Amino acid sequence: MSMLVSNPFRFVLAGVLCWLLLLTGCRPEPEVTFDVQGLEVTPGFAVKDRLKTNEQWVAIVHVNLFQTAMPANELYNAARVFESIGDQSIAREVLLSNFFNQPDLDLMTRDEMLDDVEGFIDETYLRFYTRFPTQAERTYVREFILNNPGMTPELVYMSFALSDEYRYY
Amino acid sequence: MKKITTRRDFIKKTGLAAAGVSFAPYILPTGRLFAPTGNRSSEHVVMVAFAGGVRQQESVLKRYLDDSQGEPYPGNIMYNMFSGAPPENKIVYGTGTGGMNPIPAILSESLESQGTVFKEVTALSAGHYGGLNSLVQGSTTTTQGLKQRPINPTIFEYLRRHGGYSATDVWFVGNGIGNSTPLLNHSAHPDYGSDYAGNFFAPTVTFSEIGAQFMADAKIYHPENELAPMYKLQTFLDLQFQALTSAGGSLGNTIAEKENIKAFMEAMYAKVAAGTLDLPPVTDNGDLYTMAFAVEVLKWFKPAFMMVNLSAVDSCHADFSNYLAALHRADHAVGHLWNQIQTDIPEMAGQTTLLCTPECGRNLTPNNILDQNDWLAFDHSDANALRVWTLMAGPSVPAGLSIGSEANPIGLVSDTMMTVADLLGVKPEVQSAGMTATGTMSLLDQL
Repeated sequence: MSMLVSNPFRFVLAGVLCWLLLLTGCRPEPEVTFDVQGLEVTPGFAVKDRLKTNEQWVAIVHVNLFQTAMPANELYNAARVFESIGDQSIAREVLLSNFFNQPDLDLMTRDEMLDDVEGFIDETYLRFYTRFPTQAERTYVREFILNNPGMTPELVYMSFALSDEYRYY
Repeated sequence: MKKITTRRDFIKKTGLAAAGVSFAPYILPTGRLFAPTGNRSSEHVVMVAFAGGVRQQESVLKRYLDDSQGEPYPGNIMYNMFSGAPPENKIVYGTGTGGMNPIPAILSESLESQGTVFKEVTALSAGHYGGLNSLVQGSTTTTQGLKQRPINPTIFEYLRRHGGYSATDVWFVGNGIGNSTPLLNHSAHPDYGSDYAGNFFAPTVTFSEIGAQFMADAKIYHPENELAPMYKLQTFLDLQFQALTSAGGSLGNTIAEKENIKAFMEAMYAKVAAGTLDLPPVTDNGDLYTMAFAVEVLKWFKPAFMMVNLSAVDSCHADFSNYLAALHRADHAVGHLWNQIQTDIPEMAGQTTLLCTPECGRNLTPNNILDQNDWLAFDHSDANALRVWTLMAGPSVPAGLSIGSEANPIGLVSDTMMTVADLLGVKPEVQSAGMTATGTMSLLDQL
């Protein structure tokens, strides 16, 4: 029989080493901060170069507005209706205005939007573009909302949903 | 007190503004001053792609069962379009049990007697897809695949780019969304494309129950207080995006045109729901519904050019009796179209030219499929499938003229497209573009 296996000292040594490894390996990760403000990373518009299909666009806009997925058969039918209309921008606009006419769509009021307009703008960019606005965009949209009394959250959403950037991913 | 602007007012105002602008010369996207070099000889042109593969024998030759089933019963089942007596026996193409009641003629005089028939025209393709492409492009390209945009420019694009026609001035009304139909309103050609496309509806889908589910309950926004700022914000968003990529993608409808199209859609859903659509006297297949909506498009937009595609006769692959019924109904649809133009659309009456051409013919010999009357069906792949005809009627078309014969074919299917270009004043530009099939020429030059 081998001397290595039968030597009891070696078993003790191996056990001690295991304990040492466990003790050092299970130490919690130290929280290191560098006094830099946290930033959520979202994709910028520069990388959006793939056009959504009609089905993708309808599916995503439905989720963005109603927070629920459209049933697959309805999605198929909606895409067929889109194909039957030459000017797709008209099809998108009419579909959206149908969505906005549905009673189960819960949108905030203009007053609620104005209570935290910057927060609304950030939330809208994230909802539709999955990114934060640039400072220039935030400023323009904020001033636009404030200076146009007719701009409701519904119309802001419509502008975003009809925009070119929303057609790409 | 502030005056309330309705959508109609908005459309009217923007339309007037657009009309004002159109009187002034302007630079086309080609970079040259708008001045089509051809002479426009018709205010309106309607082209019917008729109607899914039609045999000469049952259509222009008026042979009914005589040249198909070996039964000696000739006759004309397209008496709105062609002159001649209908069959006297074995009537299966009408309405009622077994189709024994022929649909009465709509027109008191056939279109053949009112216009000119090219009786033996050569198709460029024995298939629907190639045939339709030859009607919209004036050519067929062998490298072009199904479910693909036309490679060469379509008549819609020629008209818009070289003739200065607006997007709502050129329409394609399709029979459905199958195969490549929704793709035929513009090509993928880099010098033309979607900016010059024709507007398109496949009304049997758009205005169907499914279409209504998604489109009929559209919210009406105030054009100035709501839509204008909404579009303005959208423009800002688009400008930000286009700074980095090129998006694009619409047909070049102006805002006023878009509002007009939306108003049309709203009106159509309302008419369908109320049962007040202007239907042909008999409307019992898809082609007749398609034609009903095509007439509604004419009434609403009064376009310079509309192409409408019928296709129900393609049932001939498996059901000859149904083919006869569909052919009879396609004739009924054209009769309704012409009658409505002359009697119910004063802006187009007496100023419209009609062109009807099958995109392809059908075989001389049948396949082995028998229908309920034990009649054999026909596909389209042999030389007989390249035999078609063209019927023309309108103010500048000679009446009662017949050109060509089986022994002396005159004309190509692609000539129909060139004739549209000729009638609407862009023939020189289409010719100089050099993308039509060899030998393609205006039918007006062959009279």
